[in-house]
Amino acid sequence: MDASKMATVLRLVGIGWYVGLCIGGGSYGGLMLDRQFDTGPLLTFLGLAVGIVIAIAGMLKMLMAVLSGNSEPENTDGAH
Amino acid sequence: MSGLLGNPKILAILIIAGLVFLISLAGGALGNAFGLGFLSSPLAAIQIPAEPFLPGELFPGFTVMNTMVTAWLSILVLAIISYTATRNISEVPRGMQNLIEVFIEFFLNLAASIAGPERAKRFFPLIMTVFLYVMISNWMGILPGYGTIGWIEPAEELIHHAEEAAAHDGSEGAHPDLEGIELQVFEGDAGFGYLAFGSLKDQITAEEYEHDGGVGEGKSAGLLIPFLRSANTDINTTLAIALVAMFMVHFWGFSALGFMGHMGKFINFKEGPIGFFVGILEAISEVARIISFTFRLFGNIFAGEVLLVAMGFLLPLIGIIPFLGLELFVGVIQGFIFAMLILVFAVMATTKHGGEEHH
Amino acid sequence: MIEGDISSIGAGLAIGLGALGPGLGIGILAAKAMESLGRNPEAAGPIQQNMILAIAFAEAIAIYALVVAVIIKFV
Repeated sequence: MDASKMATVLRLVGIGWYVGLCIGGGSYGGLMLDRQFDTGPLLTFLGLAVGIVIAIAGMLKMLMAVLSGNSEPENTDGAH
Repeated sequence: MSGLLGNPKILAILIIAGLVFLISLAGGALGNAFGLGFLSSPLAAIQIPAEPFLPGELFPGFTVMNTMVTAWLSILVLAIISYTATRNISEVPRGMQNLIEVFIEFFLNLAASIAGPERAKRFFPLIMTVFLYVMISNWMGILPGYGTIGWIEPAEELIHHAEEAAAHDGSEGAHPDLEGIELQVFEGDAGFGYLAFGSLKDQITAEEYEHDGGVGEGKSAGLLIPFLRSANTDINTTLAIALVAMFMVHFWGFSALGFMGHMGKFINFKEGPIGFFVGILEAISEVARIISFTFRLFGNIFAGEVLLVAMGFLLPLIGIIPFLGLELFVGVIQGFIFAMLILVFAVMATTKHGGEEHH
Repeated sequence: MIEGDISSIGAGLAIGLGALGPGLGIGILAAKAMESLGRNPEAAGPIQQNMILAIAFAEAIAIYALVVAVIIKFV
């Protein structure tokens, strides 16, 4: 495995961890806040939704950086 | 082989992977039989109909289901993506607009190769929307948080439902099968939460719950009902997409061939009695298409969800990794299949009886 | 005579027998696709696309069997 491929693999793994941590952290934070303030599942669900949105937005940005960083005209649709 | 093992980086990775595998094997359902299940969690309560999003009613007479909420979330994500792609449209595309243009161009060329350029432009919005919606819904369904965080249906309600069901369809004196209901135990009594590590050990049956009269301070028993569940695991969603698609196919058929032309394919007196029966078979197969659209998409996505739940139950930390890859692939392929099938049916519906020769 | 729920046998038979046909069908499909790919490597793109489309059709039958098995088991 040469260095540049390893770097790409590690970047993609990093994106995966980012998505997982975002969603997990958001929902867990919402859960803890809800236990504190006893406001029903509203805060948990808000934390989950915000976590999902931030995860997807960040993932798309980082993925596009990785793809354009490879500087190949990649077919990015993955349609089949 | 010694060259492979001799490389210290690869050896370290292999050892760590083996350790993780052994730990998850010991902590999972298999290890639970030996008393070791520290990572385990009970098998989630899977049922085919969708579950309500929140206990109680938000709007009178209309229950919001968890698949409804995820459908709205997918629509929101699609709206955000298209907004960022078309914000400053420029002649030379950059960024998100570039990505979306590659996508759309590939699909438009594919559709034009099947349907011819003018017809492809007419059918394109519907099939692209169906493809994007199905693909985004399926992909969002494997995000963490779907199916794992939810509200807790209390044990009393479950026992109440079981007693009602037993009284409804059994003879008198029928006892609800309380031994069969397995409850999950959660920390705290907030009414919502998630299944923590090691909670398989705490699973009790409803029989024990009745017997002990509760489950102790600071804990609550019941079943976890998720807030979010992938939108296409609900037959209503897939049926809706199938109905819209077949309605549009027939609408295009009528608008291209006229009323008598399109109906002439199904009520066919021109070719004698055999033609008449073939027409009736065609009509039946139109209905069968709706059913097959619905169940193809539903079956694939629901089976994927059940597979992920079962693998997460058996092998906690790493078991679902290959199946996530499978789910990614299946999500795209099912969207692609749906879109291409609508295109093919639309082409067939707008083609005169006897076929056209150009392409 | 038989302990426990007999519906498990039904579920097992449904998916077991139901996966025979599509499995064979997908195998034949892929074999023919490989053959034509070997004969005409330039048409690889269309051959691949159509093969995947046809495989999804065959797989849909197996999915119907799986749905029946799940319904028997869980409903």
